[in-house]
Amino acid sequence: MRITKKLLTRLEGEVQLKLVWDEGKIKDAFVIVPHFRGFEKVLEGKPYLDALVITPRVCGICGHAHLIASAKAIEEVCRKAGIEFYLTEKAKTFREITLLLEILQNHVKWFYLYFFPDFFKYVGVKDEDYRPFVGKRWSEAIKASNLITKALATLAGQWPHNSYAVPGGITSDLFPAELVRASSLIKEFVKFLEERVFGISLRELLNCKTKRFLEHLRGDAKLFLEKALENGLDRAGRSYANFLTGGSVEPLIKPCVKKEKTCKFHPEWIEEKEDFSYFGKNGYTWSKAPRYRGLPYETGPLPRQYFARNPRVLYLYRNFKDSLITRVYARLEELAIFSLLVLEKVESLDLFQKSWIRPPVNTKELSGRGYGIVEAARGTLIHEVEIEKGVIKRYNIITPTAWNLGPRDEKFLGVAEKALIGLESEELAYLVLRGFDVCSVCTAH
Amino acid sequence: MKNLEKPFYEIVRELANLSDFVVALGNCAVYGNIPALKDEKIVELQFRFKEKEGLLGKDFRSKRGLPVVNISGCPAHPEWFINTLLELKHRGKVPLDELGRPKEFYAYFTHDGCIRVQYYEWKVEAEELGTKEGCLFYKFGCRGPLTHSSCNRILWNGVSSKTRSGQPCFGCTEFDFPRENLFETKLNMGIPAELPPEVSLRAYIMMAGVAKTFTPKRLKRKLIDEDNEEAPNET
Repeated sequence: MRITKKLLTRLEGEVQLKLVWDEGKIKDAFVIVPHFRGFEKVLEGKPYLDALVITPRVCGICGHAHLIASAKAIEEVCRKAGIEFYLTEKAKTFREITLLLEILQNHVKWFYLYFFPDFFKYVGVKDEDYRPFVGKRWSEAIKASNLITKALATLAGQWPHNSYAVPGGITSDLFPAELVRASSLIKEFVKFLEERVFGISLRELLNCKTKRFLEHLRGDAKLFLEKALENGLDRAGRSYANFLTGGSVEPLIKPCVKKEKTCKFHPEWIEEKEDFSYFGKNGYTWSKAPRYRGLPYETGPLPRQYFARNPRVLYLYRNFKDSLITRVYARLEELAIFSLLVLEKVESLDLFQKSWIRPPVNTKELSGRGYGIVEAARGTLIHEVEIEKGVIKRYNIITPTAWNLGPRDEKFLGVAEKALIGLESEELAYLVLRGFDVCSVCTAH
Repeated sequence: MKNLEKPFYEIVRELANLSDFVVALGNCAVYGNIPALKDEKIVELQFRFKEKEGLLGKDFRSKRGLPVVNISGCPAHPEWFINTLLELKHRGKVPLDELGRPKEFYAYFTHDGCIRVQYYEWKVEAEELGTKEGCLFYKFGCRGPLTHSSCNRILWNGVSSKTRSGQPCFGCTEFDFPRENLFETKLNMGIPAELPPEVSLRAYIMMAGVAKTFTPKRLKRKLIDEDNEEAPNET
């Protein structure tokens, strides 16, 4: 029996992968997050609005999702305390737009900057255009994702780490001309997707309801699917196929849990197991292991597209289950689906509505508990806040990466760990791990 | 960092002694910031908050003779970072302030270049969030006039900034970020408890008195009066 350890880089933070080998196969796998910062502890004792500034700092890639989750959690506390207040359609839609934009910039960076270089190495393709830092395609991807972050900053001031969502609405008050600029940046991004990623128009792609999409596709999505099939990635990386989506993306995706009879999600049913995290006795990572009614769940683009009945992702899922190929393609699909959705939402905005309506609450008196649940790039993000007389008494963050990359419990391996068992090469193991869109700073905040 | 073959701080020390320049990027690396708040063991490259108690020691100089060059901010602005690196490469030096930050970027305040600056000058307070009008310094905790940064000079993502989009500045380039009660200005008898550096209370009160007495009326109106917007012809 052989044990290998390797540090995975080119991601937000570091992750170490420890593999136990037996007769040339991975017998056991440990996903190790060596960093811990203690955000939840820092929040304790602070006035509750400070969460809007502190929680986005958990992550430089999905910080905006943390902001919206904080705002929603506080709003739920207000609502439960019987405080009547409402958000204008404009404020709601702004938040939806900026959340989606953050997902878009993430997915495109993930694919070209993090996943593709390892993928090319594994499938043995040498193409200078895709080489990190120097390749033409590589820098085009950065420029494309910058279009989206520019659009996001136009709406929310800056990215990352703005705090433009506050209980009762948003702080920004755009001129129509600014919105038009954001919209044309997004349209330019769509052009990039059509030319480079899918090779066909996004409408055309979304109109493919059968496996014919495989014939229509061109571009890097096609390149990925072809090479992935040639190299057996349709069999690699299968995990439990337990899917969970706790948030919603209006109007396409609603909360759902695969093993449950009804499509309802109850955050209070989550238990975070600590035995195998450094908080417990057999710890090897700073992440906890969230379980929903005792079971491990995968969250992210694959579950979202599965629940949304995306015919192309469902075709791959029926044939290849929750393998690497399905997981990666689901993430690519979100680029297409969410860019068109975001444009629709931008069109629907009425800028002359109010941005913010002050909630009639005495900030020194508010008490109660609330959840804020959003769909972030990597899946369901949950914030739970307990406020006592305007001060945070307890704050708990359950990140998507804790679901996907968290450790085992006494019964079940973590989702990513399970996906690595039985693989025959170290390179493939890293690639499968990459497929989950690894981020260590969220996994252990 | 647990579980690595060699402790992280040893790696950093070894690399620092081999380097022409050492640059700390972001408030965590510069001052300790959020991770250091609840953990006394955490120190940064040359500082812990504003004290020079960092890993490399207060007298550290890299091979080319500079202390740690601190690009503070949460996040640090990519352009300040890249331009500092390029300047170090081409000129071999860069003027630093007492916290090790390049003066070219940190001699300014967030306030400089803010599009709400007239409201500040004439003491017109923002009464609500979510509007283009009013200054956020008086009620909403804006640290713009107290925070060293170039946020409103070199814009974020090339397009905007916090104060331009109606958010108060939270002072994220300073050693004491995150302070407490970030959305509220602490007042002493109606006057902001903290005044901009080197502004005396007497000067502030006199200026405020004059400004409030003579505020141009246009600053009390909306920038665009929606009711006056010409309705499109109905067909």
